[in-house]
Amino acid sequence: MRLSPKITAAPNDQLNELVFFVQHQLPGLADGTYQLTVSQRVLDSAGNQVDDGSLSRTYHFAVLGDRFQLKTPSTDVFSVFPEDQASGEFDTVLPHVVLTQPTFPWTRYPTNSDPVTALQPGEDFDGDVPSWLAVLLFDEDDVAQFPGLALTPADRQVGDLFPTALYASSSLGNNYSYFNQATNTDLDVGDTLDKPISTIDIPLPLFWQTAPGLSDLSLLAHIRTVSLINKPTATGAADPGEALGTFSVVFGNRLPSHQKKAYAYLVSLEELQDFLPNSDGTPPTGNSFDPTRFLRLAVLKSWTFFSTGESATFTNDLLALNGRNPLGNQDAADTTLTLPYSGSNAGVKSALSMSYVPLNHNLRTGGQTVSWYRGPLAPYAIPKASIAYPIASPDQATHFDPTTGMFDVSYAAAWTLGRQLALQDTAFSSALYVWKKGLTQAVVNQVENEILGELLAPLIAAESQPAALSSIRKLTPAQALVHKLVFALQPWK
Amino acid sequence: MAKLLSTETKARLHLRLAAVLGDSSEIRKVLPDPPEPPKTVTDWLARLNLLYGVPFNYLVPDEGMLPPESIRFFTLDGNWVDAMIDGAFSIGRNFNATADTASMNLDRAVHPQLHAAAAAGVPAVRARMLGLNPPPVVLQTITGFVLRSSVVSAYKNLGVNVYPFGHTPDDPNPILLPLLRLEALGPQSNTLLCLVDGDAYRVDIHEAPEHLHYAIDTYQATPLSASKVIHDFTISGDSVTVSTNTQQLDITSCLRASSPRTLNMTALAAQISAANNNLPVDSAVMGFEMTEGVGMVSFLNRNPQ
Repeated sequence: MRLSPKITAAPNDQLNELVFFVQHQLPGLADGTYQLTVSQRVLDSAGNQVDDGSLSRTYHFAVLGDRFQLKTPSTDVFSVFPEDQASGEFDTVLPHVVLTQPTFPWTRYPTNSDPVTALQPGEDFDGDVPSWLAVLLFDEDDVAQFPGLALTPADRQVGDLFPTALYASSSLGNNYSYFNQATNTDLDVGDTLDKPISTIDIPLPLFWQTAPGLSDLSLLAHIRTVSLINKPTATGAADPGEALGTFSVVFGNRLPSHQKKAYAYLVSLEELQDFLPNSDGTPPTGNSFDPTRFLRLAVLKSWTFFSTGESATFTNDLLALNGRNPLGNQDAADTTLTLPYSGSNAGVKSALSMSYVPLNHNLRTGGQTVSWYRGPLAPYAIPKASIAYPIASPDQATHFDPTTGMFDVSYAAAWTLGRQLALQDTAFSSALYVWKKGLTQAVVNQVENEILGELLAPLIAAESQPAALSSIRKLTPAQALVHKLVFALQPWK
Repeated sequence: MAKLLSTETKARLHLRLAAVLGDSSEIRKVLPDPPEPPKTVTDWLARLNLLYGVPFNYLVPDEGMLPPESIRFFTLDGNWVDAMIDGAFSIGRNFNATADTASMNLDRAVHPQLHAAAAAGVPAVRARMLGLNPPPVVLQTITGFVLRSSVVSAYKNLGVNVYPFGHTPDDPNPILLPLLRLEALGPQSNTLLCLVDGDAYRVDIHEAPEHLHYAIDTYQATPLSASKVIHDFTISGDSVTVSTNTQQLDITSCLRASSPRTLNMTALAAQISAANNNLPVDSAVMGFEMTEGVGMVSFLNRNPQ
């Protein structure tokens, strides 16, 4: 992996808004099967080989990675843009996919052989490496132009990517796919011909018009390393977690059509170098492919969005919160957790404005009433209550409001909830119980020792303290007495 | 020695124990440094301080308080949290109407110690998830917001910066209030809860940098035209410096003739390079040139205290 230029977009360390754009992050080994051979030659002092050439061991191993489908799409794909089913003004944006695995766009390659070359002397950085993933974008206009195009990816099997000559039950017919040049149906370790995948059949001329060229593929994926300090933590995050997140991003090269539903696909272009158009969209130079045929690609992720004239950006969504007109200048209303009230009861109005809600309350005496409850998320700073904790029962935290004739059970409810939550968690409750028991024991021991100390005072004071014990600050009466007895009797003499 | 075991001594022990356990200040005298509460207990209470595990309907008791597409700001009611913490602490206590039982007095004696230990664990809760050292906190006032919006699920890594009054980025000395908790309430939830240490005056919510998208600035189909504003940059060693100087490029020639909405990225990279003294343009440079700025919305408290 090269140490690439780190580009700081917002150079404001204090505000933690940093992003590093990195060219790529290459995997140590590309996906595939490998053979490792270790051999040794033994020579005598004259330089003649003495071994019979059998000192050799061969090992096989495989680097596994997703190839025709994502095994865990919900974790592999961090997000897509525009989001699935979104509608808004996307006329000038290029769709993209953010992937959680930084090396994924480079685990395979679109070229016929590994494009990664070692760093040459005098070079600071290696060159761009083309990504094997691309985001393609189609819509109804393309179907009108190429009636054979189906926008919804088809459910097929890995075997359907092979020519019928190699795999009889393949539906590929005389169309093209990844295994155009293959001589057998060998797959990566763990992949089988009957694995379900999604595919799309693209008319070759459309593919040439819209797919990125090889040199474009180098520019359509990169790495972003971002600070997570001001980001939401995920439920079930690692412990301890990371303050930096590294994501890979793969972009499309085509703008969505205005007022059309756009279909976006994350596809594999693995070893399709011969099919890739030139970057100006002309068919590959010198190709002999039949342009009436289709190219079948594996779809790793697909989604749709609608590009309309209305802005649906992040900022627009936030400005429209609380029913506000996003284009207006007025302040946002209802910014605290209160229930709207249109009635005329001043008491109720005031209580609701303080975030209280009326809730049914089953009294311990069996009766029923309505009481006020307010959660911990108050609309303003609440002064410190006069309740002195600990309290013996939730009743001590219940307040009666003589003006409304209603109880305020907020703190009583909180107290009861705390007790329930503690009892639910056995690890907590048993640890707390053991600690409390230890406290009681410590008090009892201390009191016992005090009384013993008082009763045995004459004995303890009888002789002077042995010098060896003077350094021990806290000596129980029993200990002091035993040491004194031993000192007085001197049994070793 | 017989005197030691006499009824009189036993009675004396009982009396003394009753006197000590009947008064929390006596317990504190007898036990000036009680054993430390276990970490399991203080960590759990620290999380409880940040409302972990509190059912949503206790936080927002009526859906009408937080309709879809809304944001609500709040100050955390310390009394409510104190009551909940004491409820959790109450297990093993005799449930009794009188407040002077031995178990109550024992709890009363160690209550400040336990509270302090639980509070000390509060800043570590979020810091641990980020693998950082806990930030210095005051924990006098805790404020925050709940955001219920499709933005939460669509922009999972949206960023939140919170500033106190007089210390926003528009002031000479900006201060970021430490985030104590910033979490969607569930993996696919559209509700985000944020708690910060201090009195929030301005809350900036912005797009995550990893979510920035590629875009051009204008596109017109007939007559065909497209433009993009790019930043000047320089390269020295292994670092690229982006300047605030920009220039607008007419990139119409980078649109493919066969498919006018498709960009010839190679040609675009060459054009960006030509506009920057022919410096090499790789995918990382493309990254910052093509991304649109971070969308950000600031919420300000109109009545700061």
